[in-house]
Amino acid sequence: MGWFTAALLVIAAACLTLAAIHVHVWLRERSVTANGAFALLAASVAALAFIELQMVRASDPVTFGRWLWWYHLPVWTGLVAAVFFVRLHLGAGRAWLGWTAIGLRSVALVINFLSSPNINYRELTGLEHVSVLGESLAWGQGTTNPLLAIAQLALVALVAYVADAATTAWRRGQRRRALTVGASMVIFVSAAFGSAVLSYWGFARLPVLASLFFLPIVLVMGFELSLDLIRSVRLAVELDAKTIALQGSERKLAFAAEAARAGLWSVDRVTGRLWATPQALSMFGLAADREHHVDEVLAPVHPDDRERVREFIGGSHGDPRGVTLEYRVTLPSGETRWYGVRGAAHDEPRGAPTLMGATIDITERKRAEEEMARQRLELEHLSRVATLSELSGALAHELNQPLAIIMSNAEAAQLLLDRRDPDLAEVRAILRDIIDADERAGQVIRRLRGMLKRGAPQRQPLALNDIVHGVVQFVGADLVRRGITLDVQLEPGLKEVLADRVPIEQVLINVIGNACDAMSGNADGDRALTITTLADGAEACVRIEDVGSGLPANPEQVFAAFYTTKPEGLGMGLAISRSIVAAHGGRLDARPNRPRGAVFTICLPLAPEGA
Amino acid sequence: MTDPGKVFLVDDEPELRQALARLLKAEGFDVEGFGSAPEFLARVTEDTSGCLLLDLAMPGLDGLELQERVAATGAKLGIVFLTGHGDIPTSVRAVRAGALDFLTKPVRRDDLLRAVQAALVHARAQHAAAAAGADLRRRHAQLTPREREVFTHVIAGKLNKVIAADLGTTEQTVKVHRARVMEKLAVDSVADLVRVAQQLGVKPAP
Repeated sequence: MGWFTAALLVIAAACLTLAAIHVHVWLRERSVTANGAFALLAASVAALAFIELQMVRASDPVTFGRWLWWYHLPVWTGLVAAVFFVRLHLGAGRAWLGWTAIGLRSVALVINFLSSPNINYRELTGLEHVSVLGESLAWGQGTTNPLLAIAQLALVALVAYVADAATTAWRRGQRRRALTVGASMVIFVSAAFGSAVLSYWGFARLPVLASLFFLPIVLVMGFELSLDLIRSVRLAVELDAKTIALQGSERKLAFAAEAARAGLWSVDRVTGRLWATPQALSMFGLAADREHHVDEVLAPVHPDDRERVREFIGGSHGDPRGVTLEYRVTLPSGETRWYGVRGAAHDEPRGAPTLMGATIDITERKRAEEEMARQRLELEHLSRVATLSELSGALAHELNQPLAIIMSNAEAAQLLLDRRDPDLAEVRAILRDIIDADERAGQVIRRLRGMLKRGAPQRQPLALNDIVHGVVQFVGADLVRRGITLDVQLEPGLKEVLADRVPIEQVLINVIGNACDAMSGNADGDRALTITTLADGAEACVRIEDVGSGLPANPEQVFAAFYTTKPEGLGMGLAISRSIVAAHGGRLDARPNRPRGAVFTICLPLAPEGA
Repeated sequence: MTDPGKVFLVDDEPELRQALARLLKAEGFDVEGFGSAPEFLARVTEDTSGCLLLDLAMPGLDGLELQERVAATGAKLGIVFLTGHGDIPTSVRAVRAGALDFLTKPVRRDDLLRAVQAALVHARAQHAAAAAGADLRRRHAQLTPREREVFTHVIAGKLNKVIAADLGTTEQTVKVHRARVMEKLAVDSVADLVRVAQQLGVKPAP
């Protein structure tokens, strides 16, 4: 065996090995089609080398022609593989050029299979021997078939296709790939094409050994793919590191969730499949051993809250900071607990849109809040009772007055009726007045009862002017008794506020009472109280002005609990008043009056239009 | 009682004013109502006489001040206060203001009637006293300077001869002056003379 034979065998073996490796890669991971194409190309080159070896060692023209007939099959597969490899590896190239190359070669292949001896020769007349590397190589002699031009044009199309694809890739910035793949293919395919043209069209006497030219191409491509392999190994290492880091952060998250007693969960918004931590599953009352649908979470939810929870799950969650919800669940034991949940939508580019969130048990907080609200109401009520007791003198007057009217009228009527000729018209007038007075007493009692009742808060749209008017009536007698002159200016057409009548009346009574107390040291005839209502943007306000002893240097001090200037005062009135107004979303402020005294302003938000 | 008398009713609340007026009118009184103290003061004169029924809880009214201003006019009025609360400070204030009585609302007819009648009696007495006083002053004016001198000594409880010695005259002359004084002042005894002196504000001689 000579050097040449040995070289061809080595080429064939090397190419087969490469083909085997890349077929293996491709079989394992079908997505890397470039490796598949490369394997096909390498296998084709191996076949070319093997067939070329048979051709140069042919003993007669018939055998040579027969091998050359077979030779076109690996050439075709090699060309197809090359076209696909370039397409897949560079991601460029005009498809029609590639298809032209494949099409021309396919036509050539068909013609070849229909021809005898092959597409290269119309007839083979004999064999010529050429000496290469000390070895005598046989090569056919005969009439060249003009149809061979079709097969060779396919190579021209291939070169054009590769050159075009490489140019595009180069422009895109994939310069190394463009250069290695593009240049090697253009150069070596052109060389193969050149040698074939020279040999078959009688310009030179030499065997056409394509495998020699294709070997560098295979090697360059193999090198290219090995770079991919190196990259994927590096990626795998990075991925491992990231996986470890991810596991670490997952552990931290789980620890944090455990410490916060938070249940973490995520829902596939397409399928409704629920993933949840054990804590979350136990909170939802779900078993840990099987998969769950998000709707199962709804079962233990309190019926009054179910619709809101359903909306939460199905909601758009446009806010990236997440949406929160508080709801009640009924445990199997019958106990009701409060859960707080925060969820946010994640629409990742790959994968289904999910809703992720955390649920915590907020029962203790809720109970504390409820207890606080209850205590606040209780305090309000107590303060109201205290205010009323301060007003008892005025209230007695308010009740006495109608009673006195009723009494005197009734007795007058009795006397009139005892007469022989009673004036019935007068008696009727008296009865009408008695009814009016009775109604007036009834109003006082109703108002008193309202103030003494500890009712649940009832917000409703109320006319502030009406509230002020009612309170002024209520405390009017007390003001008279204390020698206070009152000036009330109600702004006409004031819009309604959203308020709970009784506590707001309480605030007004309290502030008015303080204003009166502040003026108790003033000289007689110098106790002027001014009450004004006014609109202020989205609020309606009541301003209560006095000319009394005024405020401390820091007016905010008067709102502190236990602040009082009265020996018997508890110092809770204004603190409670401010908390009542704040609970209405309003504000209660104090500032000095000019030249003396204080101005208290109570502002309440207007009721929504049409409410 | 043939002349039931006049009641001045001052209350800022029209409904109550009307009810009380109705009742008092049904009882036969002549009632005149006022919405405020100044309104009443504008009406009152020296000849005004009757019962003033006054609500104590009215804006811009001080009972004491009103009482003084009523007295200054020389009107003869018995004042009865009406009050919403029968507490002690209010009562004290009312009495200090010269009230004959104060009634707590709501007031019963009998109580009202009794108080109004008492006030009217008081007013009449004032009237009578005023009339009697005027008569006495007229009589006193008829005394001669010497008779007035003797008058002051007699009410000092001195004997005739002591008076004569003090005045540097005879006991007989003193006796005559004394008889003239008693006659002019229409009294029968020294005791009556002392009472009249008190009414007139005549001080005994030292």
